[in-house]
Amino acid sequence: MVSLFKKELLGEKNWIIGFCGFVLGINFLFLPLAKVTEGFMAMAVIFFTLPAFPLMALVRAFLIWKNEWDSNTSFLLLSLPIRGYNIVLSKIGALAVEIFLYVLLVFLIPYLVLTGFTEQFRIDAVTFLKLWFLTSFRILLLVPFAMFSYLLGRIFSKAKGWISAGSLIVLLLVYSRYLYFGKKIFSYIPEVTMSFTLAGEVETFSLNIATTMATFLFSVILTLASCFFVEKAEL
Amino acid sequence: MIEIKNLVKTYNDVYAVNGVNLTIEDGSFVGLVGPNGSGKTTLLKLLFGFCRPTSGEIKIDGRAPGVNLRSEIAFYPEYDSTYHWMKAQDLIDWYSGFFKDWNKEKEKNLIDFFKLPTHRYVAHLSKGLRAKLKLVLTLSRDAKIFILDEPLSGIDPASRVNITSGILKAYRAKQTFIFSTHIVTDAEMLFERTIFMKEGNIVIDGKSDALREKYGKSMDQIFKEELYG
Repeated sequence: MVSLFKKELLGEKNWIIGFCGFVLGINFLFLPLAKVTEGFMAMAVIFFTLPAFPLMALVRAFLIWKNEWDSNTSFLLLSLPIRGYNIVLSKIGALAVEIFLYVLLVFLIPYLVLTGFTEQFRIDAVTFLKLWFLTSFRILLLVPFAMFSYLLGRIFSKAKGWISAGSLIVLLLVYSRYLYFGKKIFSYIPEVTMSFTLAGEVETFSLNIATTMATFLFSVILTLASCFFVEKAEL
Repeated sequence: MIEIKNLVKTYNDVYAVNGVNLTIEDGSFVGLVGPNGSGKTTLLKLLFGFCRPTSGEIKIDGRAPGVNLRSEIAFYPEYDSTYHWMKAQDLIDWYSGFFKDWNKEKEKNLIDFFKLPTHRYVAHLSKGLRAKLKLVLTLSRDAKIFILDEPLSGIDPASRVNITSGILKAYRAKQTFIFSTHIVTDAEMLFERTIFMKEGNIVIDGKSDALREKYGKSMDQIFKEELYG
């Protein structure tokens, strides 16, 4: 699996460089504003880039498989004498590295600017790491949605594209219904409360872990199904 | 032994393979010959487990094709299936790591024989060299069964001779080779048995020498006259 993971990561090299360049570019675009408006505008970096990441995760998860089929490398990959979970987990692993890296870049530069050069914003390192991990992890949980849909389409001989697109829509509808009950299962897990200092005032916010865990459970089921589908996929 | 019974595969209601019955003994070198669209590739993909039959049955040593058999079967795809961003040697090293039956000596011999520039990126190799690289990936194993799908397709005549010689060099007794092609001239000397396919069906099947004697023609002539005539 390590060998597959390395291959995936190297294969994604251009995407990683491209996205890191995009994130750094946005950061540097907003950096001058940090001085002008006493640091507050540097926060804009996070608000401009982070909302794009869930969509990016879905698209990347879809493309990481589609590229294998389009370039016929699926013949090489699926000729390996390994179970489907090796392939699926190596791809999820590579996307996890990407997502954690992008989110780190989105958070890190404003963090350094705001805490290093202005007195307006203070957040401790542990809170920063918690925020980074939870944000990245939540985005990563979307990856199995797209993988499931793409691979489900691939086990059929015809209407692959329609089946993939349709299943993603159905999946999101099912997930929204499921979440209501899923959150109840994990309601015993307390929320994570974090705080930071902004312009001398202590601001507190909470992250709902029950939602994250319910989504995690849903994503695990989708990943298991994807492992099954990849062995049944038609070339 | 490979046993195929009443095998049917349809794509959008078109029959790619239409009721094929076939038995291939261990250790035979079989040529699967037919024009484009005759169902050769689909039959080979079904054999490897790259797609599932619409109906019928395939058994390889009593087992259905799939992940469990991939350690025993080597597959050469017709399409360029190599990762272009890798160096040829890196691709060989990466791929070989998954197979217990990888034969390092065969790998070296084939690289030398094909004069493959393994230090170069796959993207910078010509079509012929990529075909040879795929052959190194396929033939360097000591697999029980080798499935070669159109290894001569799109290759210039000089390289075709080089490729057939390379395949012959890699061939070991007791290994089963199934070699599909629509370029019969350069490959017929390899075939111990030849199966002609047309429109998803087997139309001629027999020992190559017996077929030459029966029809009084070379395999290429049988291909042209009996299948197209």
